[in-house]
Amino acid sequence: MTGKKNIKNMESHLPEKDAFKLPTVKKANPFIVPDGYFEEFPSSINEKINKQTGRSNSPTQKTIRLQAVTKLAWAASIIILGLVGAYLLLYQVHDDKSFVTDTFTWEDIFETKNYMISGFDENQFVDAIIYDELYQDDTNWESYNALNGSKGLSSDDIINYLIESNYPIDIVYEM
Amino acid sequence: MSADIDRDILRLFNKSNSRRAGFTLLVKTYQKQVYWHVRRMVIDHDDTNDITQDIFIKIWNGLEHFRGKSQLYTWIYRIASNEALSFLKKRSKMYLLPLADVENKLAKTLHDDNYFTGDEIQHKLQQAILKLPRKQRLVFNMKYYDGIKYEEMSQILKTSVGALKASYHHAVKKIEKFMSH
Repeated sequence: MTGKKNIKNMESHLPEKDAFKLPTVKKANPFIVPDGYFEEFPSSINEKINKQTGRSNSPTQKTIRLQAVTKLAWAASIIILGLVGAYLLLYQVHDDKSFVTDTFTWEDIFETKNYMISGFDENQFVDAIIYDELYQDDTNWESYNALNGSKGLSSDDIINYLIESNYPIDIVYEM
Repeated sequence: MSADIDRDILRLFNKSNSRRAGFTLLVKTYQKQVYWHVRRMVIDHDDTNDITQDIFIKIWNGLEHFRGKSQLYTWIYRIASNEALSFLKKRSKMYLLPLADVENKLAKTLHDDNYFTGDEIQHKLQQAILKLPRKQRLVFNMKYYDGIKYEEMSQILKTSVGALKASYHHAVKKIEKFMSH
């Protein structure tokens, strides 16, 4: 033991042992901060974030805003395309009109119209309307007959007619 | 750092109605570590304050993308380390100085710094630390002052444990040599 102690004593006097050793320095923080710095820091960060939030909350909201802008751009594109389409369509119709008027004179058109109107019996037209309305309900047959001056036909009248006209008997029975 | 606190922070942050509360808890939990980590690198309080604020803004913007592949605090330390290094690099460019001269300038400001209260030995120690290459300085500070394990440091700095141990060993030797003269 004594020998070991002597060796240690000898080592401690060697120049290397006099050299600075890091662990001998007290591990202390030599820096300081202003009073209340860490107490106020969270609120200063929150203020900064609030300012940032004024423009955009977070990357998620930035993405949402970007998506909204994209949707608006799409909507604007569709509207523009629609307007262009409508303009082209109108332009084409206009062209068709000019084609018609270039090919036919207005006199031709009026003549055709008069021909069509004169070939049509107005009374027939009115009857057809009335008939159409009455025909919707079977019970109005009598009204239709009355309207046309007819006395009306009963089922018996029809059967008698069919028999007299020598129609096959099975058709008559089906009535 | 407690994994429970990290879990609470993330749980609060991931709900839209408690997002701000989660972030405030994060700031209160990590503000000192981040501040001191940056301060030891850039020395000046005002610069440190600006950088620390930027770091937390980046954390606010990026936390929703944090997938938990690493621990929250290693992720925060990584951001802080990158920001501090980036600041020093910018400062070199701004003053058109060689990289090492920025540190020399910082060492000189220590004397006049109102927020430095160390004695002569502490002052000399800081000068010795400022002589180290930047990444070695980071390693030294994280090990010596923050007591971060090599395995965790490896995740933060994306460097192997062996390289970090060697780096710290060399840093200690350089500092001791500087202090001996």
